[in-house]
Amino acid sequence: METGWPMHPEQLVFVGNAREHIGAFGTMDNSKLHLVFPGDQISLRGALAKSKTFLRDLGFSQDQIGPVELVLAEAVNNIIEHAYSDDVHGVVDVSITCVDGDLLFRIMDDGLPMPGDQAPAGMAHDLNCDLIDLPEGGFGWFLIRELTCDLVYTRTGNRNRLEFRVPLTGRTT
Amino acid sequence: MELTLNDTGDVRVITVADNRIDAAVAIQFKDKMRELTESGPARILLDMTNVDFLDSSGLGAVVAVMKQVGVDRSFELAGLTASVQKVFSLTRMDTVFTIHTDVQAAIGNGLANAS
Repeated sequence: METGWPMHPEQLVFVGNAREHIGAFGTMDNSKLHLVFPGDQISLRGALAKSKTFLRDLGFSQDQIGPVELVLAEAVNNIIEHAYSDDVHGVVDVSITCVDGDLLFRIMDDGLPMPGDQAPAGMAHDLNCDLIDLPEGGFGWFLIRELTCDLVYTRTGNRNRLEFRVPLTGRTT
Repeated sequence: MELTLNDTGDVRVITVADNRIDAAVAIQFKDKMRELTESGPARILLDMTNVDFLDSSGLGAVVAVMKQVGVDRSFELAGLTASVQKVFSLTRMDTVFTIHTDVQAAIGNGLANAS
């Protein structure tokens, strides 16, 4: 499948099985970024870089962009490791929409459902322990929960959908 | 994952040359750090000045390194950028690690004698 810029109209429609859309491409109009990329770490780095450029071009500061990059990385890492179990080369679909200065996110994949069909609560760890007992993992969902609002996980057919809002620095809602 | 090493006096300063410690490189980081800290000075300082992104995988790897260094030696961090510091403070890992503003603050005039 042909990749690159500019896109043909038929490539902009996300329909059917996500695996059909192999290769990274994106659309960028004034207020929306849409990326579809393979579920691997190198492609994720590219998607994060494109996301940061998009936000910088909209005038967001590094202080505002930092948490966005972190949340996207954590959410997609979870998809790569758990939904796609590191074995299957699936595709990840990320949309970032800026509406009235608010950042709305939608992340989709065609992998396994989340355990219990719900997004993890992401409890904080108790760090009051011996050095050897310090946790080395399990921070991802905690960070996502800390930095997002209105997080919703839904599954329709084979597709997982995670939606959330990242409030801008200085805003508490 | 590129790490450079500089022993000054009784401190081993390990500088992360990469600007990301993320899921893509966390395991390599952990493995290379294990090699670089297996022996040498009892005080180890990780210079993270170049690192502008650390995710939970990267944090986990840094924790793993501290555990591997153990209780009889010290493992400290220096030069955390704002985004990286935020990950440590959100997870409260900043209460577990000794974090210096920069390498200079950590080892004082030791740098002047670096070879």
